[in-house]
Amino acid sequence: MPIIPTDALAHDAFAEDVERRLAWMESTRRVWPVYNLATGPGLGIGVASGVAVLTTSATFIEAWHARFPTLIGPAIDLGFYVYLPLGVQGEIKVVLVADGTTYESAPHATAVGSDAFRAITTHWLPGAPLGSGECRLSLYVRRLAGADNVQAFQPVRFSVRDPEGATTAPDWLEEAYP
Amino acid sequence: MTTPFFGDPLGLAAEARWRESIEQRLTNLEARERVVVPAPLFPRPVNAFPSSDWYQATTAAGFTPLWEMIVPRWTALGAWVEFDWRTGAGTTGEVRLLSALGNASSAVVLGAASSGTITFRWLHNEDIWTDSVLWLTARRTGGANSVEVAFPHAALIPPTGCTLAGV
Repeated sequence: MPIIPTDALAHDAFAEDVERRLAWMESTRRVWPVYNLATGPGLGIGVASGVAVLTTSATFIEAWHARFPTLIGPAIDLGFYVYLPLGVQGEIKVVLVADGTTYESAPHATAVGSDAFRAITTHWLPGAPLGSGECRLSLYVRRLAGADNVQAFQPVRFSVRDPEGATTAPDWLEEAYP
Repeated sequence: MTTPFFGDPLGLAAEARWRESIEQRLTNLEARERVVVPAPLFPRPVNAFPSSDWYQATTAAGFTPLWEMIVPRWTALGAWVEFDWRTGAGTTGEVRLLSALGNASSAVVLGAASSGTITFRWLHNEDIWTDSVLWLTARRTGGANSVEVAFPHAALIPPTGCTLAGV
């Protein structure tokens, strides 16, 4: 506990210093650490080769999920690869269940497959209150078109982090990989 | 902030209000920086790679570590571990958490031919900043089939709500 100066001038200088340092702490992104979550496979889904979930389902299935005891950051950062055989198109979305309330991102339809990997990322602001208890964060996948499997690989990034740059919709970024 | 005014010539009331606002802002900052660190457990190298749906199995009569977390430093006093489990026909078992320093949670009994989810909130009872290893262990207590424990989700958490028993 710092000793608060008693003479008026030193006291005001001390108070200003406290205000300035607090304002810096409140504004800086350092108060939002990035936590990478470990993901396991979704409900009842077999995992091929240990790292990819395969599906031909026309309805969304939970491909990967992470659970954690409390929401420690306002935004979700997701990065993963999807393999799309020729003519196969998939659709993905992120779902957060926090304290029993469900928050769902807007879905993203992938490009039509050409026997290639695609890298998909998003930075999503679900709007769940910080400190919410028992959370389940899931990546859902389904097939929109084609005859083969959509292959959703285990996320390389499934993080709880700061809101900087995150959107509520969210914006999806999809690129050819490599 | 602390400027005196009429009715508060020494600025004491203003000072008190300022202190209160500072306390509140500090409390908010502490809440945002609460120590909750997701910390994964991995299959033990001596065990086979998890099955396609990420279950580790045992038939041993003694508690066997199935999943492992290396803890370079205990950064919190509690450990939160949540996982799914299942048992084969006629087979019963138990699960518990165990640390490298020998501390253990209470054991939770697993019924025969069933499945479920268990959440440990365990006070590990070890000094903060010490290094350790956390194991999720299981054993078979009856029957001829396997006791299986799925990939656990885990985090190091503040001690609030945690107990030495863990469940």
